[in-house]
Amino acid sequence: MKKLIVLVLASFMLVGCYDKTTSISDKDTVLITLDNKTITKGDVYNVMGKVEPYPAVVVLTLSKKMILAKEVGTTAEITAAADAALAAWLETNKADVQKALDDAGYKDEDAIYNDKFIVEAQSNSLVSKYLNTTFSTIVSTYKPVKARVMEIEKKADATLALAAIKAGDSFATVATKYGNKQYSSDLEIYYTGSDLPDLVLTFLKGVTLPTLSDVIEDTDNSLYYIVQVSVADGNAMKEEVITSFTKNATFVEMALMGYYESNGFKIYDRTVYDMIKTNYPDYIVQ
Amino acid sequence: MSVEYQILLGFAVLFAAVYLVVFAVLKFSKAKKKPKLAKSLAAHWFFALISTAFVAIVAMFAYTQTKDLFANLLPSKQDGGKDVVFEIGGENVTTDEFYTELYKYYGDYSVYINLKRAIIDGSVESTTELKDLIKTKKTETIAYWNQLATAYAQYGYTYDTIAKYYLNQSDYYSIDELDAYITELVKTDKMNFAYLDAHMDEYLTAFTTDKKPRVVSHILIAMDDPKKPTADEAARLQAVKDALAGGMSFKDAVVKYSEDSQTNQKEGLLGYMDKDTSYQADFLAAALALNEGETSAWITTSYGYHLIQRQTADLTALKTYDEFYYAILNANAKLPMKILWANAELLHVNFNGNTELEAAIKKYLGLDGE
Repeated sequence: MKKLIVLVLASFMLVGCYDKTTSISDKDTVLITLDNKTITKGDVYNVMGKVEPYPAVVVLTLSKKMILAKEVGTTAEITAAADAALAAWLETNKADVQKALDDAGYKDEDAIYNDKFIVEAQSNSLVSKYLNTTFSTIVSTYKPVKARVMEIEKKADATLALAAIKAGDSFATVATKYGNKQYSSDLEIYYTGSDLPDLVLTFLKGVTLPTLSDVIEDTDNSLYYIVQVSVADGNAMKEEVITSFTKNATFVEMALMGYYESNGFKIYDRTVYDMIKTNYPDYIVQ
Repeated sequence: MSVEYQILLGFAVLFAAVYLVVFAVLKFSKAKKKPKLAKSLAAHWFFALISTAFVAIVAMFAYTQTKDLFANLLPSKQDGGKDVVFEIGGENVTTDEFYTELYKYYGDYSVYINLKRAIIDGSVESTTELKDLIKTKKTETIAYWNQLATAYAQYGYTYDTIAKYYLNQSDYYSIDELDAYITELVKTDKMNFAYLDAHMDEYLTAFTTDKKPRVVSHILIAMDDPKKPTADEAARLQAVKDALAGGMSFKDAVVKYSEDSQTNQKEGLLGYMDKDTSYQADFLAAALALNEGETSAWITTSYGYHLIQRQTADLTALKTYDEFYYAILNANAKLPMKILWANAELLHVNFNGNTELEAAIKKYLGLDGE
């Protein structure tokens, strides 16, 4: 019988080591007293810890800062970028800086500098680091190209536009005459996830050399496209691809997730875990 | 290799290891009498094999049944005797560090929620009458949420989603907290109403002048399109007009002719209203134009034709309507916080010398200039 009791108690202890909602060490410290009641730090933690999604937001903000500090630190380049961003922000909000700070949820200039502008500069640096590290995979997966795209609404115009480009007119001039300005006639970096019609993306995926497309006809929407690819190999324009992708939310998210995973992000509090799983499931990497 | 096979293999290896030892002992032992246990095991090797296989299968079955349960369990961790909330890059963040960070953003709010609950609870005595009120309110609330769930089921709403929405509005986050939520609602009303009863002179004149509080009744003749009444609708309207012209009282006309099923069994009484009541514009304008005891001309809304009568209602009569108190509270933005603080002082609120916290909470309550 004694053995059975020991076994049961041991099982309870083992289960007690799992699935905890954590608590602070000085939870009984009294903050406020009323006649027959006290409000302790533990009471305050219990409320803060339940209000969805506050705890999740704070854990993700804090963990992101820790990743940024570890992976990129605060270099002179980052400080310079943050200084410039702060100066621009102060100029924009010079009429009432304190109100702008209050509206943005920052206590003072130091807070917005450290929590916003430094973090933003570090984030850019982090994404850039990730893209540099994984560049060959990024190129083979997302096939970045440098191209111009023109959307034309009449088939006859599309035929004329293609003939004009082939005859030596500049793409931009032809786009001004025949295109509907849906897409920029400037050279842009596009990739498999770019916001372009499927037919255009399919064309770009198959391109291996600089080229000019024929008229690409979207029969469903009665629209016509001409695409001019100037660089078909992403490896040949690494810096430009990285600069472009650093501003792209898809790659920013991908980089961050990559570092959460490689840095072994592990949550030990059940409430926080559930909140992150519900509101930001991509961050669960354990 | 799956865990199930690992378990099976583990038992097979164990069995083989035990019998290697058993046979080794029997073969190489120089003792005259071979160990009893080894002899017994050797004699019953088949039974032992079957038993081991049986235990292995039970272990595999137990693992299969419980693996999901254990897979979903989170491990816990401590660092220097403190609970760890998360780790990243080999660095731990303890609950104490997490509290500090969380407090920067949500600390004042969380202290306020705790303080508010303590004040409300401490300010209103839990009498039998109050307990009955809470019970009634709970029944009504559940019925109302069920009604909403039925009405909005087509949009994916359920009782739980609706309950969670309302609970969240009052900073409760689980359906298990329903009793606490209802108790807080009832006690808040009691606390606020008691304060207003004691300080009515400070607010009544301005409120009455601005909001024109009153009690009204009405007769409704329902119509699909009041701009183009059908012959039947016109006849029903004419009938009540004739009855009133013939001397029938408003109350009797309500009983005999009004087609508003919500009010025609209670003398047409719509109850409390004021300038901010969300009635249709023509109805509101007509009702606000009436002196006590007066009856309006017939007016139209999208429901049909209405005849409105303003009832005589002094302060005592107005006080029988919770809406009257809510309207005064809504008309004075800072009043709910002022009431809360007044009750906090009655309960001898003490920040134990933490002037920074006291200032932060007063700022949160909007009382920092007072």
